[in-house]
Amino acid sequence: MMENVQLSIENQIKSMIVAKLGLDISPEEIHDDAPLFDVNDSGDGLDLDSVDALELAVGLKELFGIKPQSSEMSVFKNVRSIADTIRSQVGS
Amino acid sequence: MESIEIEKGLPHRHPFIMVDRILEVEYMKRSKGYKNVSINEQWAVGHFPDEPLYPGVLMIETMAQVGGFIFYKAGIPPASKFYLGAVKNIKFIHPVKPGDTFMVETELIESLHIYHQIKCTATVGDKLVATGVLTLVNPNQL
Repeated sequence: MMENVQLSIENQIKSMIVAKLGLDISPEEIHDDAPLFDVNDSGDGLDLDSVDALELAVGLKELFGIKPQSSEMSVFKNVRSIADTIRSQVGS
Repeated sequence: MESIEIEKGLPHRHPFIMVDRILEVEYMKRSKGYKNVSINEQWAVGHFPDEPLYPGVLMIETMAQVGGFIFYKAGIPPASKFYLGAVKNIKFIHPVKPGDTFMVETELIESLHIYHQIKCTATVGDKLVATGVLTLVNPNQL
């Protein structure tokens, strides 16, 4: 049950990223651990830019009613780190 | 806020001040101001010779300059310089012509780090002429 909830948050984040940034990929193609603002050695990652981070913050606020603070930019490392932050802030 | 005071809040100078008057400012929330569009401006010569229309790119600039006043606090010089970081979902709904008062209202949607997203709505009289979302960047916040 807990796993379903976690998957749900991660999938919501992926769908939001694709929609907000108008990416030409499907949400399923984004891996939980793939870097959002970089590309790793295995070629995985979205390579977003810093302007996109604000777009993600707006999306998170719309979806979950919360957003990371400027001092917590590490939250945006990957989908999993965002989801973990959401879970810790909503206390589920 | 009249032209002389506007120069205290904007780093722009002639010939690129695209706002004539600021009417309302709520710090870190919203702003409202306008530009009187005139035939006596350089763009009117070529855009277009037979039909002068206030260019869309300059509408965006007016939106950005009015939006910059969201971050203006009277008596706190110097004003920070903002750069345009992103332009999103801009719609030009009706043409704006010399003689029109191009009224812009902006509100802060969200801020993160040095980035600020603002929603902009422009009207001429009671007619909606342009809408959009801009991202303003303030590197001085680093």
